Amino acid sequence: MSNSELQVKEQIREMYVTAEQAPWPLTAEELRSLGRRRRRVLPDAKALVLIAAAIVVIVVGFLASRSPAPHRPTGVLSTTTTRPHSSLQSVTVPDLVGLSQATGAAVLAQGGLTVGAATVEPSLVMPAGTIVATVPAAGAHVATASAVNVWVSSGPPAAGAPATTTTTTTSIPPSPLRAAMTPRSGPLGSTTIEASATLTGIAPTLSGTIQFWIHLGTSPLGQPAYATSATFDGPGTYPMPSFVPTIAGTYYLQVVAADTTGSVTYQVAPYVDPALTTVISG
Amino acid sequence: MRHQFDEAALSFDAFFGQSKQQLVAMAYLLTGEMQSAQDLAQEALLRAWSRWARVGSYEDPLGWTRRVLYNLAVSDARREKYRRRPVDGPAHSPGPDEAHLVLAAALRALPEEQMRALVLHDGAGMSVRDVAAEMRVPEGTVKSWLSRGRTAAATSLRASSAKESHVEQ
Repeated sequence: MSNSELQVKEQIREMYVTAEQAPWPLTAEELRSLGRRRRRVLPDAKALVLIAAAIVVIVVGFLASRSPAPHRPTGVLSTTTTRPHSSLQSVTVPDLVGLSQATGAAVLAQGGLTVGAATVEPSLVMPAGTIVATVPAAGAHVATASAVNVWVSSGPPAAGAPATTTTTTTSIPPSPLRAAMTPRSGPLGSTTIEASATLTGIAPTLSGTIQFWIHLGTSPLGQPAYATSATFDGPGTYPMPSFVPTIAGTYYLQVVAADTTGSVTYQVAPYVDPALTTVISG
Repeated sequence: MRHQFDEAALSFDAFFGQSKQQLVAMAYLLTGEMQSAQDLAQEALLRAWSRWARVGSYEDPLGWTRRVLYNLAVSDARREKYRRRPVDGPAHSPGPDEAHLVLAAALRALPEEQMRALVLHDGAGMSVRDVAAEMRVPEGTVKSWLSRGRTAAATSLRASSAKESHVEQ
């Protein structure tokens, strides 16, 4: 090694040791929290938008519930078309998602409706005790004094519970309701989420409402990003009106089918099936 | 779920403790400035943590993080993010920090494999054999990179000090 080479080598070593011995107080905990903060910057801004949208939905739903017949559509949850109720006066189902069960019942009573079956189930996004979904959905026109079934969150699923379809299908009988969602992923702005629900093996005379919810997984409050419904009439495949996401994140599909009396319901729950998620990249 | 997260955090913490001083020292070799060296090392560690499920299972997570660090250092330097111009003036003589800036610039100017070999062997004190294993080349190749890298760095150090004494005259 020449003299100048040796000099360079020694300088490099001296410089390295200087820095290696200089204290750097950063701890692993701090580093991990930096990572969390960075990841949360965008979702936080999105959360504000979602909260604002949720408030609008709740207020509109509340107003709709107070307005006597003739009903007016809420304009928020669109494309609802239940079969016409010929004899009785009809009212619009208010939006109860995000309300507590008690408040939801009060809102229903004000609108001339009653609470039907209440199902408690885990939700990753809705706080415990709040209403996750209703059947019929908000905006549906139903006869006065009809029962509205509600799903109430019990909070996040128990830690360690694997989120797979296997666990749900082993504990309950196979459901006649299947759902599909496409694509699996796509870029923001040019991706349209398509979904459909398929009912098989039900009586040809069974008809009712299929409700589609698309939840945005990264939202801390977890208001559904999109909700819509369609009618079904016997077995078949029923498409969801397509949805163009405006926020990047992971979207989960939830589908509930209920017959017109509300006595028969089937559900495909969100967060259990990877095939029912779409990742939108920003 | 929670349990898995904690395990990942624990294994990352161990990795962090073993590697942070080494990473910041390597970053310092390529920046010559402590603040930007810490920024670089922090960014490399953050990237390792954000992919820890995968990176943590690699045979050599530190090797992966080091490569991220080189790439960040080189691309940052290209954007002139932290390259300081030497201060002009007759009274100015290069202090120790100035010498570090000059050496860092000389190392960054080298071909990448020479730079990496010098950082690992001359800087971190890794044996030629270990450097050869990390870079997946024969030991002879590492030795030739080291020699050429040192010669080139010495030349650019001489050029930069000649320029400075010329300014001083």
